[in-house]
Amino acid sequence: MDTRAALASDDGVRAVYSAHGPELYRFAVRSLGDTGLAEEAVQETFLRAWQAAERFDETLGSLRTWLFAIIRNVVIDLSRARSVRPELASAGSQESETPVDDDIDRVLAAWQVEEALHKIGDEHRIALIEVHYKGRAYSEVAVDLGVPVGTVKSRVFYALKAMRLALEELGWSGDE
Amino acid sequence: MSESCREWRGDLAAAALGRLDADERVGLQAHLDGCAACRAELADITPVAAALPAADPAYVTTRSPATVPPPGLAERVLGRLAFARADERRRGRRRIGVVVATAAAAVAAAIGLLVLGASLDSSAAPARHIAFGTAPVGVNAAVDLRSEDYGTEVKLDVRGLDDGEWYWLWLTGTDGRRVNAGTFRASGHHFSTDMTSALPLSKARRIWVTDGADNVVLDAHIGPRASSQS
Repeated sequence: MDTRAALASDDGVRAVYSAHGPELYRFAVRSLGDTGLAEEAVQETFLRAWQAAERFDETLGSLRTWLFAIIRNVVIDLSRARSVRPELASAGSQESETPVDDDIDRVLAAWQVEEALHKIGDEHRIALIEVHYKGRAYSEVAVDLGVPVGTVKSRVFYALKAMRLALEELGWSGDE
Repeated sequence: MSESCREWRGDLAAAALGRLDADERVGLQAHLDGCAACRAELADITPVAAALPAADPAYVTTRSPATVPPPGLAERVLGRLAFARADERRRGRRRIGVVVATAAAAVAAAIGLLVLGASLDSSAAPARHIAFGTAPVGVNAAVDLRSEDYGTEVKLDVRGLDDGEWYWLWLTGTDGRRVNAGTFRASGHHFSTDMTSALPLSKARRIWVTDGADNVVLDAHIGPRASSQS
């Protein structure tokens, strides 16, 4: 696809937005902690994408990957422009020495997992959250859910399988 | 993976998550030693299990559905790009019409200053005059911005907007936050209106007008004050 051409018409922009806009917005909200700023970030991302579209090389990666590289920079710029940055600041850095780049990558990694969790089925997500994130015993979760222990264990397995697919769709490359 | 391997799936996940006790680990290992398919499954899910701690539990435990962007955002993106495209086309034309445009701008500025001068207290801070670089065809608009203790005074001068339509005027600050400066109803083909925004002029970086459908109609960048004046 010719990206410059795609972003040069309203229909093209609409198509790119409906494919990637909501995800970009959610990442912006997650990293900026402010819906108004997140909207600004998404608009700025599309503007920069259009301005730089001639430099987009689809042999190097998907349009989605490219848009996320842009919004990553936009979020950094908006965070730097703002004295208070609750989400990035709470991502682990203490005061000034940790570069914002590290924070944003940490937020991006967190967001990928959180977004993937929203994409898998309810039964799988609940099993994974109860067992892994809440650290509860399989047997306890089984009683709560009214299913055999084997079913909980099986759901956790399929949750991990589904998470893998969801993460890969989000640009995750976890196999080091 | 054979049918009997189904039984091991729960343990594969538990192993990846570090939730097997010693006995269970020994039992699973005995199976894995003879089953390439289950070894492959374990290799498939182990990096996923390793990625899970990256998530913030505060965001994970919530059951609320994924955040949905506001419905107007798509249109605002379209508006921003439409104006950027129009601006690019205008720049192309401007190279040809630069002399005419400069002369017209000088006349407009002179008129603007006369109008402004007549209405101003001589002790007030000088206003910044900004023409909207992006505007629909047939629309001419400019603002005079004045810094006040309570925020920014905006004197909008516009011709060519749709008669009777409602519009919203916004300033965007250096932090990216938008601050409203009021609403107005366009009347006739030329009118002026005074509005106020709480945002200090020194922090304003963009001034823009949206219509009732939340499309951006007018848009201009507010640069930092020219250094030659300071």
